[in-house]
Amino acid sequence: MSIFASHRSTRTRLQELLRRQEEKRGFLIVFEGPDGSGKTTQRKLFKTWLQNEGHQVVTTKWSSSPLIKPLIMARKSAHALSPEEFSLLHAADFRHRLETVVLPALWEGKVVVADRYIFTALARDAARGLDIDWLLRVYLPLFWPDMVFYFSVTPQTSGKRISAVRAPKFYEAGQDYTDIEDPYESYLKFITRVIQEYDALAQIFRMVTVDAEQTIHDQHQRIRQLFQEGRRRPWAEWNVDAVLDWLAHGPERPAAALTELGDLGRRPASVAGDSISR
Amino acid sequence: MRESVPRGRLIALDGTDGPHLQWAARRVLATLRSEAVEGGVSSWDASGIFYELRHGAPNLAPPTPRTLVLLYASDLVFRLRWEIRPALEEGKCVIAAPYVESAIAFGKAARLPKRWMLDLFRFAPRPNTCYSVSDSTPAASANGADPMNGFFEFCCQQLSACSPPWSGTELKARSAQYFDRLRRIGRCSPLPTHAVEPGSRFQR
Repeated sequence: MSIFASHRSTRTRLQELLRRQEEKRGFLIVFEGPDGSGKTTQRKLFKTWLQNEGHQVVTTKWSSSPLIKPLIMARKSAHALSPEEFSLLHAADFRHRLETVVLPALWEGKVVVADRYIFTALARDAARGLDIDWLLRVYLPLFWPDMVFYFSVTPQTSGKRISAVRAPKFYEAGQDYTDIEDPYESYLKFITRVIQEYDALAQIFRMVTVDAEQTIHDQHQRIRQLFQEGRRRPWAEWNVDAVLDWLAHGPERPAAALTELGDLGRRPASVAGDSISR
Repeated sequence: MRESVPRGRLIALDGTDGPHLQWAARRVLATLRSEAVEGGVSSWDASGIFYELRHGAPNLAPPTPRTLVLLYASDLVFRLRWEIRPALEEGKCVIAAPYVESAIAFGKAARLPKRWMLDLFRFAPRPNTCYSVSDSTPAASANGADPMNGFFEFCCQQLSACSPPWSGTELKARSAQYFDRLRRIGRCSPLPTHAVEPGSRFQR
């Protein structure tokens, strides 16, 4: 049997497995939008509501992998990151969280609420001048959420809300890109570009746009309503590659699924007495 | 996105044995200097991210091969920005040890798609020459190198914490197959013995 035939067969088996898992697995709900759009407030309200409805909820935030976050923080504080490094470190952070937090929780039937997702990287990195095609490839295999709420605000509202509480930080203000010394001025210029990218992404990826200029209560009611109306995005159609990648490489994988994967689920595993280094 | 190599000369030394790569890079540099060629070595982990990972908080979920390759790419961006490009722009010779093929060899061994890695590394300029450094090069441990100091060694160490753990031996064997193939199709050549012999000439 050729390797292609073997791969096809593995995909078919995985698709069957994912169809069976579809009703058991959890939801991935993403809250996206520029800084100051109020998505964190809404994410917290939504999480509380979900828990009251009896769901088990896991939250994951942008740039929060315990493994990679310290690397990013150290370099951010030194203002030492180029746009490509910034992008790749965040991609590593995202991948680590996807494989160790998001997918295991979804497989176990929990609801995962993500405060930012790959669209944050696409919008910010593209606003820094990086090629969107390269960025999308960096994040392959893509894992599609069931629903993405995009909190839409104007640059002016975003700027006002951020500057009401603190000065924008160096990278948040895009000062690495704009070279503008005043963080407020830089922020306004940079967030305008970011929002342009977000608006385009929201259309391309069919996000659910929430008018973030509305009251907190109105937004929350709309999110609840949309969630209740919302449908799952079938994994067997959308997420085969990403799940296969996780099952092949993840640090801890559901044992039952591996049996169905056959050879592609097998990793070059240790045998007794095997030396790792040499 | 790939930029052309500026004036200098970029020599890539790739392989699966970090200490051997370091040793070979130093010897090639010495040989080049003896021929009055100005240059330097760009090594793995110039940005320090792998060092920080190794000494970071214990008991965290280990990174997967894909995460490790992303981190390698980030380190390579740093090296290109601060070491490789500035030297090339000054017309110097840079020995990048390791460069792109080492990461691809590891990724291939861990069953990552090659297409993904080629796309990922398209920011890196093609080297003028690519040599593979085999493990049969004289032992680096005899030259005082840290036997665990290399990308491949780091990855194997990290992946040994997975459940079930990965086999370093098998990963290494698969990587060796990848380098064999690169040599067969002319994408890299074995590092010539005369390049690492004291008093020999490199640019024949």
